[in-house]
Amino acid sequence: MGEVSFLRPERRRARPGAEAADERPEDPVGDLLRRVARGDERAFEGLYDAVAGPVHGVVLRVLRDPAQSEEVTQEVMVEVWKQAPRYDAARGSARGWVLTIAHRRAVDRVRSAQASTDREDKVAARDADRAFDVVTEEVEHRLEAEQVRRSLDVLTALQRESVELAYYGGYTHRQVAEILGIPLGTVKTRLRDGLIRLRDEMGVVA
Amino acid sequence: MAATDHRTGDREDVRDLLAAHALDAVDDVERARVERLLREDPEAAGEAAGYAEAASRMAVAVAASPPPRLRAAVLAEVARTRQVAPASPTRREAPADHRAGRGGRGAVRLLAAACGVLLAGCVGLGAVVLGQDDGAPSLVAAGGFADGTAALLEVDGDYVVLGQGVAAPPAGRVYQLWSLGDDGVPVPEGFLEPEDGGFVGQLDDWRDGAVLAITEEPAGGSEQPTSDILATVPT
Repeated sequence: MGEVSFLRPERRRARPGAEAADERPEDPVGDLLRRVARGDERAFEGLYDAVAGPVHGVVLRVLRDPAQSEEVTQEVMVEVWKQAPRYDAARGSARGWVLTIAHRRAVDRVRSAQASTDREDKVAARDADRAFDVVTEEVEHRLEAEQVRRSLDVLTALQRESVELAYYGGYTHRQVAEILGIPLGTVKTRLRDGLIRLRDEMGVVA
Repeated sequence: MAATDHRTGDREDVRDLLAAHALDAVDDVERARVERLLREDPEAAGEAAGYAEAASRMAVAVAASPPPRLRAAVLAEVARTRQVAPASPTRREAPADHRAGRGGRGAVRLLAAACGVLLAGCVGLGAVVLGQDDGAPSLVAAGGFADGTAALLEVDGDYVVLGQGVAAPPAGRVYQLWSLGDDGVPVPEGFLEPEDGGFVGQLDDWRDGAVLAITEEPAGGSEQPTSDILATVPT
């Protein structure tokens, strides 16, 4: 293979809200991931213990089926191992990177299942569940989870509804608009404003 | 590479999708457009990083431990799984290490899994795409391939190859993608890895008018096609 370069032009500046998290002097997950990128299986065990809870949690939240969720969680963790050499710290935190993989994989599973069953099925046929109607028994990082759940309270009810349908429901913004019967532009605005609030709130909380 | 900034308004539209993208609430065409913006625009990438961080906290909020047996299963699988090579800047500098859609950009690595969705008929998708008035992504061509369908889409100056219902290559073999220009010389364009019958690959540097060809090659790929061409997608 040709010459491999891992250098990036420059570290990109994160937005203010994200910086607070990024600039914590220690990023244990990031350190683990960098070791994993060098093929360190012991480091991977540590990484697994650090992220398996949120990974499985979000997969379970999106898919809801426990057996399928375990399967996807396993796929995600193996994918994290495989792709670790491609992790680029300039594009976000290590945990964020892992959880992006997890969420996308879960959503992909939902959408391909939908595609293979009946694409004509209106999305509204699925329940638009509230995200926190069931509190999972096995909360791993209980305190942090609690803190994050509280931070979701900064969202207005309308923002929260859209953000949760998108993230926990696995719906596209078009589907969210359809479910809620509101214009697409309104959905985009609620998603964006919601994430901005959440991001800025995290800066304070972290 | 394709010119940028030729449609500022369109760029703004894509920028409006950054939050939805962070929540995976975009379709595959929108995702390709957003990820192109992120490669080209550091400011947008910074904004996206903040959104991604916010979104990932929503995963933390619902954390739930998987059963202990899963840990052992994952560690066992990891022990027998090879890691990918680090990203390199462009596909052409390291052809043997690249596959279309993953070329040097981790961000697109999971797109392949998404195409099960998208390609519930890429012709259908093309119709949807063509019906959009803003970013003008368009279906360039589609053809049969490995029991399924392959299609070439243009998305805002980028070309994306999509597959649906595609049979996996035999063990030890890969699908390799080529472009055939007027001179008829095949240029390697990376690999396609069907997952659940679908694939999505982004072509970094597509030549207008070239013919897309797919062959089956030994793992690692070939410098020249060694099998019959399985599919061609004239453009």
